[in-house]
Amino acid sequence: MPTKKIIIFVFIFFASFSKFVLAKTNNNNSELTVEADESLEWFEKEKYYLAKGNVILKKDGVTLKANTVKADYVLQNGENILKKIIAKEKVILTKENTIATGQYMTYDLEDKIARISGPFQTFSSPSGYVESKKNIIFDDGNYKAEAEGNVKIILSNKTIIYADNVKADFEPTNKSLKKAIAKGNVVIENKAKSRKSRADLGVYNSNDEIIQLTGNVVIINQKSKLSGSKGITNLKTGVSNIIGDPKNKKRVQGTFSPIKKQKKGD
Amino acid sequence: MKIISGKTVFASLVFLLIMSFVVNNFLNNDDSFRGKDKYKRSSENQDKIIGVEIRQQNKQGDKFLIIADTLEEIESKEKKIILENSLTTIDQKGVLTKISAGNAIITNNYNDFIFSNKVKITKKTRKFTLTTQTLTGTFKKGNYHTNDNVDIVSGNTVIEGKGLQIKKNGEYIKIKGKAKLRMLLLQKNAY
Repeated sequence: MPTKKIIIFVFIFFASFSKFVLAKTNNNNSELTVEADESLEWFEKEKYYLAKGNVILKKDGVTLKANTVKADYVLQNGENILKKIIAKEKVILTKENTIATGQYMTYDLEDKIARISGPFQTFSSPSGYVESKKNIIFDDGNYKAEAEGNVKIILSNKTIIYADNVKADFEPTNKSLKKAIAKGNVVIENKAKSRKSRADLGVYNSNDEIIQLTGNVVIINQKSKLSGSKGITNLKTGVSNIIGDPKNKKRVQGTFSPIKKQKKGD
Repeated sequence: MKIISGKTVFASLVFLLIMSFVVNNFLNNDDSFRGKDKYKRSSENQDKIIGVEIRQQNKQGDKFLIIADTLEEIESKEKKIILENSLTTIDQKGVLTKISAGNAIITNNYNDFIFSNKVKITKKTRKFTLTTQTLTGTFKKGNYHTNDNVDIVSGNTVIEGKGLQIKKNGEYIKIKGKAKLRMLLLQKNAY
């Protein structure tokens, strides 16, 4: 069952993005540079900078490219303190071998929340690829991450996960994955291995290392099909169970088709 | 012999202080501050006036003080003057903007200017410095522009570019074309 891999991926994905965008620098001070081809405007009264035309923003190894970048600040003792960065159009955020793309990105430096939103945004790293059609949010202040709107996750082993919404909570101390929830039209698919799972909801909890699939659970393995109300996978033992719903008189159903043994030479 | 009491000495000092303030204020009550084209002359040679101080005030209440090494007055309808090593101070409700330049041409009844030869704008209270080669604009609106290289330093921020447009004495600044901004982020921004 590929669910374990999903959890590993979700952990790597969100943890790596957390480091990618929000990582604290070793130095107390760091430098931010912004280069623009078209213009750089400074609205002193309104307290923001606006850079236009192939804008490149760099900070601590993170590079942000966009057509327009706005930086809000406040003035404290004659020094500018950045509050919010807003990037628009053809947004590309990179650090080392990870990359995020979208049409609109905001990063609130006070709340430490990064949000990529728009009709289509992606995030890719060596561990996989994520796309969404609404937004991808990283809340470093509250140790949360969320992808929303036709979320598609492709793992390095080509397993694909679809869901309307994926949320993840992290431990504040070591930023390890605490809980992950995939909601709405959850599909886990590995075409190469002819495996597919469907559910309304998928929940992972690190305390007991159990993944629970609930609501119209269907597990398809090659030509076998199991369906029920709940599916439980224990990551410690690797045992998966599918459970019916006696209260609502819904029983576990299974369809098993024999797999023809391949003849030599086929 | 009668010794002067401490009270008398104190009263005399207070009196002297008040008098010096009154006299100083009276002497500085210069009508030319609101005048259009009056200036102090320290000395004069054939063509140039050496050591110049011009005071102006516009309808909005902004005060202008121009100090220059030399002044050359060109007789024309526009009342054109040419200054060397000028320092212009603009006082907008207590916010001081200073513009220094090697050369300055001021026309249109002290409204239009062309500064050249190492132009520097400073706003001390905002830790703001702008340096360029030439700067053209009007005092009345506080709008300036240049096509030369520009360096701006404001607190922990440095902006470099070529070609500049300023409105309202710096409330809005635009670098036209390629530009670079560098900001030293403090610990609060080190994320």
